[in-house]
Amino acid sequence: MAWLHVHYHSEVLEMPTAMEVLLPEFIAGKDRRVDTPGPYPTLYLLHGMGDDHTAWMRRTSIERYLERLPLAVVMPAGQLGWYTDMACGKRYFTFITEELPRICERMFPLSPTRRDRFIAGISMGGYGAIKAGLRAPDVFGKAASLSGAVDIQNTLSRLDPQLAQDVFGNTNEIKGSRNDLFTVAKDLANASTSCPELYLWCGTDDYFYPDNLRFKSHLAQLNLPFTYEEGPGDHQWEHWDRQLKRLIEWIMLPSKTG
Amino acid sequence: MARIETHIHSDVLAMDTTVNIILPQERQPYTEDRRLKVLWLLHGGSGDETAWLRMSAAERYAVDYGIALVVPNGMHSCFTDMAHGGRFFTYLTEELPLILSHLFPQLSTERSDNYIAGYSNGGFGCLKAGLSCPHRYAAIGAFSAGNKADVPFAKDSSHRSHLRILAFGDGDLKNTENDLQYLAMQALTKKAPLPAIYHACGQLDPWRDLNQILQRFFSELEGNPFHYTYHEAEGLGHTWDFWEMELPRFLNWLGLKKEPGKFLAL
Repeated sequence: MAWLHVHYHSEVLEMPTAMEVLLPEFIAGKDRRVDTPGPYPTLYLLHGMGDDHTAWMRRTSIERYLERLPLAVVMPAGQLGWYTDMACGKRYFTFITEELPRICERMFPLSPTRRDRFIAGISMGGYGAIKAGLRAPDVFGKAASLSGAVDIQNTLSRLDPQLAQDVFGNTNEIKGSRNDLFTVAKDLANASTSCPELYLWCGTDDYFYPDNLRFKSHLAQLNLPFTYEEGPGDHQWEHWDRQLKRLIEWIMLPSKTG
Repeated sequence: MARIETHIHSDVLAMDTTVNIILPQERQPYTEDRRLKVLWLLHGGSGDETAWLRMSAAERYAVDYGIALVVPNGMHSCFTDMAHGGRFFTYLTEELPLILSHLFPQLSTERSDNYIAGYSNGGFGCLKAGLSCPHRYAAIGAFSAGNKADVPFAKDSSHRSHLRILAFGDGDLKNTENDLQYLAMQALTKKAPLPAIYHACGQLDPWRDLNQILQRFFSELEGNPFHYTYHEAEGLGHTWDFWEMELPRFLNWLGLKKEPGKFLAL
């Protein structure tokens, strides 16, 4: 793969920002490479709270798992923004769901269709990826969460109160809002738009495990398309590294919703 | 403006290598599907793919003029296929254009949109590339550049001699693919469009005489088929303040226009 450290400018964030990008290297007839010249399907891979755009490259063997696959991966920086248009701060949701695909599809040989856009993340990034899938269902064909903070109300106690307020506004009103995944899932189930395929994995020793179980039941009740998996493990990179391999397999499966 | 440090695998070099790309970013919404002009920027003997970006304001000129930069690493090769080492010339002129046109579809692959420049050993390298591949580059900007075939060679125990042997072997370079005069004469017989040549040297450059030998050769070609221009900068030597000054001069000489505010910048 070609590995790109990209420093670029975001008009939505109104600042320079950074991302890591992995692109298939195509040279016709050569070994070690993919056999299609693109444009490639793309996985937008989000980091967790306290990490930055380099986390996936440094903490996992991602490049090895992608070998020979016609799949590009974009790892953006989301700082502490919870991939949310902040009440008092930057517009990370708009950045992730609108501007980032626009910039990347301009800059690199990436497919500009919903069917070929995927989004996934861990922890805060799991929350961000599922929210992006549910609230921008016309942008992404699949959305996945590993150990995601899928119940944002239950997660508030883990956040600095000032940060929580800056990101989400009045935190007493978070339940039932457009930042509550239970609510946006229900809204989408009631709408005529088709839902991206969803994937959830959580470790059974993770503090987010009960939340993931409840969110899974919620999705089942709403009859939304999802795959749920779990296994031993807590909130650690060793599990996410292993699950990333499985996640990429799921991403590469032919889409059911078309 | 995006600065993209790109790690790729080169089959020609048989190893991984790094190339820096500067891509002007338009404002959104994107309208015109314009391909970007490309300036290939080569480093000198002690440099690598970071030299132009660290030691000059190359990125600022790129955003001013709305041109993409491709800044590869040629190690100690002078961008030749080394006698003892990597095939950097083939990498630069054949493989890298293929790799980059795949990774960055915005880069124009038209000859008329591609220019190549360099300083010192990269000045030799860009002349060699431009004269050998006139179908690939419309113009050459050579700063502090001499012809390696004019450099006296003594096979001794010096570091200088060692580096010369690694890149070029220990033979005479006259009338070889590392002789710029020979390459220019070959290009003239091809009846294909020739690259325009911008050549400059500092008056205090220790290798000013080598620059001047090249200047006499090109100046004596009848009808100036390479649109060759040469000047010397007063008070400047083989240093970054000279190369820094020459880069925007070269872009102006190419007829590129500044487009203030058109591209996003820091």
